[in-house]
Amino acid sequence: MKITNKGLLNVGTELILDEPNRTIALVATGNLVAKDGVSWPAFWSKLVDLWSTATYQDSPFPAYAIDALSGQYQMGTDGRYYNSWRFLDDSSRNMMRDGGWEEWSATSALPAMTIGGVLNRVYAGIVSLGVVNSGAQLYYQKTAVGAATNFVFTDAVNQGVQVYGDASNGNFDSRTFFKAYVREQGYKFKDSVLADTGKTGTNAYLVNVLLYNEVDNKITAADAAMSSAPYSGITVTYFATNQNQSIDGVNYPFRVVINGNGATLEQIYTKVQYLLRQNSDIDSGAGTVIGKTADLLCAFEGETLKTATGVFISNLNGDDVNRVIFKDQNGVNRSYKWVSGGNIIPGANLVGSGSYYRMMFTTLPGVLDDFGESGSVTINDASGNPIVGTFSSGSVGFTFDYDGNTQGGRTAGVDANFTLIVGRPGFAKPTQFGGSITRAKGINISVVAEGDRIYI
Amino acid sequence: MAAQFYGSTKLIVLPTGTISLSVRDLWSDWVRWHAASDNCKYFAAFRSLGGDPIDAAAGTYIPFYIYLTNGWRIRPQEANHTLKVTEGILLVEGGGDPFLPTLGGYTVQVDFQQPVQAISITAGGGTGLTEAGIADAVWAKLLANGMTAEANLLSAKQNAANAFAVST
Repeated sequence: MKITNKGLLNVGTELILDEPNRTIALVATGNLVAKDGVSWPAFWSKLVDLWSTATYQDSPFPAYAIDALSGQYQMGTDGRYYNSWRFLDDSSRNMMRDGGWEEWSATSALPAMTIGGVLNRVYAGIVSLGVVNSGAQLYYQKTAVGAATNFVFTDAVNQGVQVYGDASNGNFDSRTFFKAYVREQGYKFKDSVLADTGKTGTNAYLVNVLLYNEVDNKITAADAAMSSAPYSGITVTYFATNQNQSIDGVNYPFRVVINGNGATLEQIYTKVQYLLRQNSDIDSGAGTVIGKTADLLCAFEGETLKTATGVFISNLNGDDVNRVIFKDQNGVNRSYKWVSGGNIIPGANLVGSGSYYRMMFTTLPGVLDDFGESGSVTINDASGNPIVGTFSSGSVGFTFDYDGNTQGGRTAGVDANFTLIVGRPGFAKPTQFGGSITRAKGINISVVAEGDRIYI
Repeated sequence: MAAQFYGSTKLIVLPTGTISLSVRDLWSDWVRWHAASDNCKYFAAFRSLGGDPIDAAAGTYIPFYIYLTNGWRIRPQEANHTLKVTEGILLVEGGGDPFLPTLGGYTVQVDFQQPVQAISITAGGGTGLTEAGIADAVWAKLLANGMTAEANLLSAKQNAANAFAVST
């Protein structure tokens, strides 16, 4: 449990003070668990108590509290003079909770105290808001193109992250950008930037990041399956320029193309989320895109998969084309016209050699093209192929371009009445079925034909 | 040669030389035609019933009934002839004559050789009733005079011969 009571910090056990060298160390022993840490108010209060005794009054006071609520603290100054008190090491720093801080040194060597000081380090107190799954390893970037760095401890975050270091302490200043991530297998992804909580930069204060997650029911497989079909063939390619992709015969610009490899949307999503957790190049093209810091590419809203701007999915499973909405590079949503679909499910004596089925329009506006007439029109599937065939091993799927089919002068976008003929000489009498193809998926047509005892 | 089917005119034309029409063959020919190409786009010519076993061990089955449907009709060959309809019962759904006149005004007599009893009997095989068995049973039937039918017939023939001999 995080130490919030100053009485649980014992000098010589959890807290080691080195007055000659002006260092403070926190030790994960006794009441202190490294992952749980110590709150800045408890730490500060303990120092105040210690310096109220004669034991420590021969040393300058180590710290200065600007504001507890916003978590602003300073080390190495008492608010007036700079005295070079600092944490002994990163292990100690990593145990500080609920605040950010600066570390200052005097302008002269120990044991000097000076009116001016040198800013050595700045730590932002990164605290995540929300619940994450147990064991979640959250991580962050300090620059937009920087590498991902794991927070020191797993689970929700409450840690000081160094965002500035002088020439002797890292020599960097990254106080204008911060992005944190939680991307866990089987859970929805979340990332958070400074703007999410109204900040424009990091510094020695609390910085909240909105990181939380929940079980993702659209993840269909564990990581081990990603090297096998269909996942192994699902790839992502990034482009620097617009790539035209055809949707119902019209080209639209995109810059990221996911090869769906004929898999379901859930399988495609699972592979994409897997790639976005990899600390390696996930771009199947010529460029380099590190997965775990790449932008999200798609997300489910109910049963519909929506892509991020400029992301297209090719080679979709035919059953899924009406469950996906693409946002093109111009930010406009694009989707395929509705394709109805379903299965023709034959009875046992219709399955096998010699069987046949043919689906025709029952009526059409033209002359002599209704079912039963010489010009009867066989219905084309969504790919333009007639819905005819044999029952070789069981049910057969079919699709129908509900919004686009105009065979025989049919009006697109309305229900299509069909006549389905099935038979299998010697086994099943020729039999006729009627029905309607509606604007729906999963239209199952069960066809049962009487056995034929007469045929010779 | 099989019958010719014309879907657009709903006409079945029997080929030249056809003097016997097996109902069962006609059904089978149509099933094959229906399964070929896109012929199933036309309304069905027939519906069928029968063939169900009554006593498979005895070799008895319900006869085949075939109904012409959707306005289909049969036209016999263009010749004066008698057409025997065998191996089943040919009907028109809703009633009517299954046959159309020939185009050439020929005289065609149709001989429906339909079973008297609506039970078909498989000839040969099995241990049940057979045609020969039935014949034997008829001949062996004991009459009121105590003679079998066969003996009674032979006796009658002999008596007639004797009467003829006496008269001459």
